[in-house]
Amino acid sequence: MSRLVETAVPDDVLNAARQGDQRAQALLYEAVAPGVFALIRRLTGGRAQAEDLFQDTMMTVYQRLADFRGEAPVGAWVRQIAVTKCLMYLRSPWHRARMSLDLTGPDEPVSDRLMPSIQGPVAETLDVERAMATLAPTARAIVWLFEVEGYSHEEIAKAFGRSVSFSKSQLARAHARLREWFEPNVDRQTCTLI
Amino acid sequence: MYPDIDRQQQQRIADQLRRLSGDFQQPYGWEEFQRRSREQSDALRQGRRWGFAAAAASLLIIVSGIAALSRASRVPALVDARPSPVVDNKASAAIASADPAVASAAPAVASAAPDSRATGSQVRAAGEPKAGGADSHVKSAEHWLASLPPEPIIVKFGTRAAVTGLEDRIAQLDDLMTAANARHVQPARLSALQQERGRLVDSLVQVRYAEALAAE
Repeated sequence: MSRLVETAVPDDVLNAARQGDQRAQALLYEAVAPGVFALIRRLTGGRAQAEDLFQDTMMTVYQRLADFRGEAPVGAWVRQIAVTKCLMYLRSPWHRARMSLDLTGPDEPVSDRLMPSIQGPVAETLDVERAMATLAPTARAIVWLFEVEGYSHEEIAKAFGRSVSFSKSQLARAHARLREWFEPNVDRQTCTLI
Repeated sequence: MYPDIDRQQQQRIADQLRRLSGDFQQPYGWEEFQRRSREQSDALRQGRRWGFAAAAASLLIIVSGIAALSRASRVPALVDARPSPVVDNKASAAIASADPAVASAAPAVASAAPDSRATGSQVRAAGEPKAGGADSHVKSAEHWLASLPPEPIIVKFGTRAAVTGLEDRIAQLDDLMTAANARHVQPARLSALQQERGRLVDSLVQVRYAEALAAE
């Protein structure tokens, strides 16, 4: 497991890339690209959209590389750009229209269509993938940012332009749904009859 | 609720999610990324170029339109500079009726044209010999102009431009005459300025009269 924020790039490579050195830029690409694509893929779901957003994100990274001051790890800086691009995409009317069209398709279950391709066909992995695919895009993004990327509720609220309680309630609902997926037959009685 | 069980379950799901986090490889390598970036930049540049061309074309059309309109509006303003502008005797009559003192001068202008119209030179010929008469004629014309109702909300651009141009020139002449009075210039020069001003006031009267008729 390697998170994007933990991606390490040597300072000399970063400085050379900032000054336009092609070899250093290629090294930077090799270092951050897998994490960027994985994050975008998890946040957006579809491969085609993820590739477009990946290209867009990486272009922005190189365009703004000169502005990177090095106050935070380069992985965190790149992650911020990728998350911003993904959230802009999720909020776009185009994406919402596409989702409404997708959800009305009669051919296969929603979870199957939204589920990304699986590279490690382990049963547990399959279950998690399917469970995540049942979530709405916003809820999925919040779960991923909170549980995997380590965002706080405040950071999520700021990124989405919403309140902290929005982030908390979305996460709680998403977890409830995931629990239902994993243990559908558990009776969750909230009070005991005397 | 079972908070402990829920928390354990949540933790287990979170662990499983973290194990998923690194299982995608980037879709293409550095060379392909550079090629796509170049393509996108070219497309963007092309789009910008077309945008600039469209903006330049729009600007050209707007400038041409403004030039054509300003030329069209300049034509009426130049009418008084031409040797024989046409004067409607109704305008003179209107001025005359506004001030009985010049009633004798206005019919003279009207009667000078057999086809009920008089040329500008004839108007000047009637007004120039008598400086006092010309002065009172200008005053009565100005009085008539002041008595007109305020301009309507919707106006014709050409007429309004002509009126504005004439008013500007009259104001300019007023300034010149004030300066001439202060410097004690030759009386002939002052008289020429007054005559020019009277001529402009006449033209303004004609335009405003035509405008008033058109508004009715």
